[in-house]
Amino acid sequence: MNYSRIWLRSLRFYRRTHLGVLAAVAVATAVLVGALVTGDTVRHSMRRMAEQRLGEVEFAVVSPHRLFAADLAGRLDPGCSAVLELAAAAQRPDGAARAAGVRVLGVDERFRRLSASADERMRPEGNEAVVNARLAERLEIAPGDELVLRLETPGVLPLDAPLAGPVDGTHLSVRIRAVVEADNLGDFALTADQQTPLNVFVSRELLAERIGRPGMANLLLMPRGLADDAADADALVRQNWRPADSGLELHRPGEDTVELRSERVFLDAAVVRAAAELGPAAGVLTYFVNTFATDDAEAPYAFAAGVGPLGGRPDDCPLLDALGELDDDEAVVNEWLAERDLQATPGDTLRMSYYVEGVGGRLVERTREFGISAVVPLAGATGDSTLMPEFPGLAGVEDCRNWDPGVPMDLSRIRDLDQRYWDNHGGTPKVFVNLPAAREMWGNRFGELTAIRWPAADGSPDGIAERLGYLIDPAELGLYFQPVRMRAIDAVEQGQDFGQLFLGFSMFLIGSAVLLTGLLFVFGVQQRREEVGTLLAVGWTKDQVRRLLLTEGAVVAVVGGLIGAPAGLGYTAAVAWAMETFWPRAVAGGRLALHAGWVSLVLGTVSAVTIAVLAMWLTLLRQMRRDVRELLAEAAEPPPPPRLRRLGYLPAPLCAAAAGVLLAAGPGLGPQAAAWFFAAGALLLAAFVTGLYAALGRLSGRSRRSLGWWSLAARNVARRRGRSVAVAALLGCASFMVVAVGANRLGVGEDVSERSGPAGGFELMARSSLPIAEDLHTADGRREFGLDAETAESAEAVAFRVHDGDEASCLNIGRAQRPRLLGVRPEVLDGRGAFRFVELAEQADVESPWGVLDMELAEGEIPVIGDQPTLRWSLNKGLGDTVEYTDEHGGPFRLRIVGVIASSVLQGNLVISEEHFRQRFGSVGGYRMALFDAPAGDTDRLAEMLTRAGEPVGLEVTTTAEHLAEFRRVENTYLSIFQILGGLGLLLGTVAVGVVTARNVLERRTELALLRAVGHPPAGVRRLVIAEHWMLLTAGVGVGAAAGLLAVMPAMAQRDGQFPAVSLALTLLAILAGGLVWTYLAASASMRGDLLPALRNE
Amino acid sequence: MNNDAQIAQMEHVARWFQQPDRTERLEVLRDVSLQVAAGESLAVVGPSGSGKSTLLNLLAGLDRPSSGRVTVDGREVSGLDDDARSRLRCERIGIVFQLHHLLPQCSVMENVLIPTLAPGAPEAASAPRRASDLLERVGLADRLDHRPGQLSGGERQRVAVVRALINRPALLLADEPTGSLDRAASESLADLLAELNREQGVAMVTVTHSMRLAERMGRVLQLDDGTLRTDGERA
Repeated sequence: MNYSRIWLRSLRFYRRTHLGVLAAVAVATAVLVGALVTGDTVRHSMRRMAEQRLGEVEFAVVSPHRLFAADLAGRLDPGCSAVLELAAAAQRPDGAARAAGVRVLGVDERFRRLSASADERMRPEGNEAVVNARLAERLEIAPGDELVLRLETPGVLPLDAPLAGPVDGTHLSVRIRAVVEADNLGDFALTADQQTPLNVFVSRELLAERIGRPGMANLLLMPRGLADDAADADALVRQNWRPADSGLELHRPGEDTVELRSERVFLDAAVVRAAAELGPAAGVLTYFVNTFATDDAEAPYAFAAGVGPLGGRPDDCPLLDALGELDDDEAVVNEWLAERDLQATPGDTLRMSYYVEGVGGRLVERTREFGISAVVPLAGATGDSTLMPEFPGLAGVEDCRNWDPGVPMDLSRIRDLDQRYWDNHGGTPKVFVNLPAAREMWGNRFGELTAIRWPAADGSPDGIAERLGYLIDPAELGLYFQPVRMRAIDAVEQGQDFGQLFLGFSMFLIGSAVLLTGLLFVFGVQQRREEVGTLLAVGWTKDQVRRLLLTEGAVVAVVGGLIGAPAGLGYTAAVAWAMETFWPRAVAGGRLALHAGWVSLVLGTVSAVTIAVLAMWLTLLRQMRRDVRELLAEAAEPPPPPRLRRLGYLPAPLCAAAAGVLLAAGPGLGPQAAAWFFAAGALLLAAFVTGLYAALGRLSGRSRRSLGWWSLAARNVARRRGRSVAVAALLGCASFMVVAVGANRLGVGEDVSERSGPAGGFELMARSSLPIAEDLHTADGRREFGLDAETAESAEAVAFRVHDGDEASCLNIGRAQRPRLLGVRPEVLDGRGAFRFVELAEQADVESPWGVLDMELAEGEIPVIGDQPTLRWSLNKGLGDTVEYTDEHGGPFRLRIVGVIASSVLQGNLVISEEHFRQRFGSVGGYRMALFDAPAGDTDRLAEMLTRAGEPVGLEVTTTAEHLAEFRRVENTYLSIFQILGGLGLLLGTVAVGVVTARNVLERRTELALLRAVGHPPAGVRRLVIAEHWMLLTAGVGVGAAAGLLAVMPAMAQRDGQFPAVSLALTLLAILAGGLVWTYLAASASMRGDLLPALRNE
Repeated sequence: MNNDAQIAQMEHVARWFQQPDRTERLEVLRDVSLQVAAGESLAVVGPSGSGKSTLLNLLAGLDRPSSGRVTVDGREVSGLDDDARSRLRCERIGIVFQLHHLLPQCSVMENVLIPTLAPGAPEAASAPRRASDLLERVGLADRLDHRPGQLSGGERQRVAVVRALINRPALLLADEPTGSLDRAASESLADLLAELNREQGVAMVTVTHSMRLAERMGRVLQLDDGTLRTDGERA
């Protein structure tokens, strides 16, 4: 005889009792394992999606606006691939379906090999295109169909640079060769979010030629295994890079000179710096001048140049020699301008007017005066038409009345004389000034020189190019590798932990299962109290008895755990299916594949079993307090031990604490108040539970002179008050959660007209595939964009520059690594009082909070504003924190959070000032996002007009209400999951009510039989039992709901009538009804049959 | 009576219970003094509610006196903690209840051996042999592997008696041992208890309504309204 024999015997003998405990532990384990495995599944699936997006790519150079020679990739390694990626809008030829936000990727054979499958179909030739499944689905297209693409054509200069040239798009018609899936790089994207892109793959050769940039690319992809880190990869670029790769050209404009120029017209500061190290040279800055004027005459549109030494004065430079030494206010004019245009002579005053980029990128015409120091011949060094760089819209245009340099021009001013000059002398500058003066006038953020000239004796073009290649760091020209794979993996690893989320969501379900475990276990123990008493009476110690019972319970729990773990996998599969089917927003449309980590399986199982055993241990502690006499006799529940008796003193302080919390929350119902109210509600609930315990204690002790059915029922409820309170607490907590969660469900139709509201008072949001060049802030700009005069005048807009990055909203479950940046003019938003600030840096002016974006910070820091969900949930940042970022030259800088606005349409983005944006991302031209405030009642008309006008740039117009609703739907999706899982927990809770009811009836069969014996009809006895439990149910649900309502008062107050009273009331009624039904069924079932024999047994 | 030969002693023991309203107390035993000599048999009789079971519980260490001293085997029971009292019961006291309280999941043999698993149980190795002998002695040799549910009421109570004796107690306490038995079974059990008292040399205190059982004991005490008085002694 030994212990194990006894517990083995007991396990077998009490198997039916144990089955209930086993089932409850299995449920708890399944839910716990399920929650953790759901986390594994989402993480694994997101990781797999990230890997599918990237294929074999480890590092990437992303230079969207600054193209480079595609053959650089081959020089780095045959495994590297150069891609030309352009934004586009796509449509079917019949116009039946369109898609904005499409990315057209010009690829080659090497790109195909970046996929493990190296799919043969990913080989577009001629005008063939391969599209990904999402685009095919969106446009309902299939292989063989035609597709029209409106392409972004990256200019040599950024769109809004002065003299950037005309803005135009290009069309490309393609025939679909294949539709490829994610496994075959179909969803290729470098962003660290799981948004499935709309991809079109065409031959890079075709695409580059189509936009007039043959042989160029803007993405450089390096596969795994070629470099240890991004710096290593950058070193590889540096070794293989040549100036020509970045559009730097060295040539001989004449026999005696070697000239460096850039296809981007202006030479980058890094290039000028390197060139200055090569030896003395002449720097040239040639610019387009609107007007040359003296007091008596003027001439329109021609070029002027500033020339001066760079890195020392070269010994032999015909141009510098011809001009001589010039002061800053001296100009040399050529004979054409002096004699034919202005009739000017040395000593006259010359005024030059020209456009420059003013504040906020707006063109400003400036004028500067010079004294004419000399007139030079239109020949030799001063008659050199190659001094004019290849300004887009000017170079190569035969008729100067067709000039389109991208600045406002009055073409009627152009005279025949000007056309003759253009015909015979091209862009030969008519005026020369010294270099400092030229830089002062025309230097800009894209560069301060248009050419550098060395004496031919200093080296051949190739020799100079080679030396320059050593001196220039290509990273400064945007050619630097980014660790895209690491970022994608980090985004997944640091992203929303669905394991934690589901654990949180399932807490109530797990709690219910554990409570049920404890209840069933304790019932089992109570059933065996006589056995316990006997063991104690024959000399066993309490420890021994406890150990015996706990061993039994633990064995049952372990078996339950072992059954629950595989069931957890089934639960996860069901959750994954539900998320894909009903709640796709929760995983932002991600595809889920079941994946269970051993850690989750073991941790979930062990945790559930441990919790169950702990619950058993706790219940045993209480049961073992009873003494042997009681255990061996039929007895009522013993009075609570002193510690529990003190619970009776708790309700008052808990209520006082709740009141204190409410007072502390104050009259303001801000976001913090919500937390306070929640705390107050929870305190009230705790007060109720402890109060109920104490009240039942008093009820059981009180003697009455009269007895009615209800008082008898109440007295019976008080009889097993631990059990009664557990049931009421369970239902109270459930109702509290249901109300608290349900009330937080957000309506999806919000008032967007309020300027301090989430839409900033803007009704429409427009996002374009291609940049918008027009200044939408002004009525003129809006008119130029295509709005009619009246609407352009009455509508208001704020436009945003966009630097693409990761989605940092709830639409991305990964952690955004490089959030998308928006550049805005703070004064426009301040002027409207748009959006509501929740937090603001101390130095800010509360009257113009957006002005904080212009505040001066430490070197290398830029002020940034984001909305609360973006900062708190997506980036895990707050006011004063910084976000590391990299500018387009690879230079690191920090975004310091200086303001937080309430949840808004700007969710997912970080906002900086346009000025800072242009400094850091000068290559990003134009606007790609705008918010519009339509004249009253004119929203639809404005939307229609915008859609029509924005067609060339692939403008997608949505209402801000709809955009906000997208976010709200995601939040509501999470709440739905919470509610469903909470509902399951509640179901389990009502099962517990049923179990308790049945147990109570069984324990009281004799007593109930007595009622029958003294003449009460069976229905009356049943009514008594049901009434007792319904009292508990109603009290639990009622107080839980009341506490819940208090907790959500701030949310209700803020939402002006949007409180979902009907759905909540229905939910609570359903809970109540469910509990009532369970109680009724349990009471009826356990009272079936004749009770009277119970008396005889006694 | 020689104190050294006494196995249990109660000195001026009172036991009362506080009423829930705390206004008055319910006195169950009043100034009870009692000595139980080694090997003697003693019956305490009295009407229901007279405090018989309370007296037995105090002797068994299952309850503590409100005042006075209870000593078993020279140790004051009320001064011992739970574990020590468990140990005392295991080593020195056997208890037979009105209801047999057998573990339904265990066989007759296993039920008898239950006390041998308690800490301090003597001769654990020889316990099965002793259990078999005792069961044979009470006429249950062919029922060793039966479950309680397969036994009659009298048989179950005999198993309970053997269980009480398995650890060779010096004091056997029986609380209405025949209370739930029919007349024949009661007679049989009364005979058995008297014989075992003699054979095993165990002191026996029985509380009972049954005068037939009481008459088999060496001494009978009357408990009336919490007060003990001597009725007489037998040889």
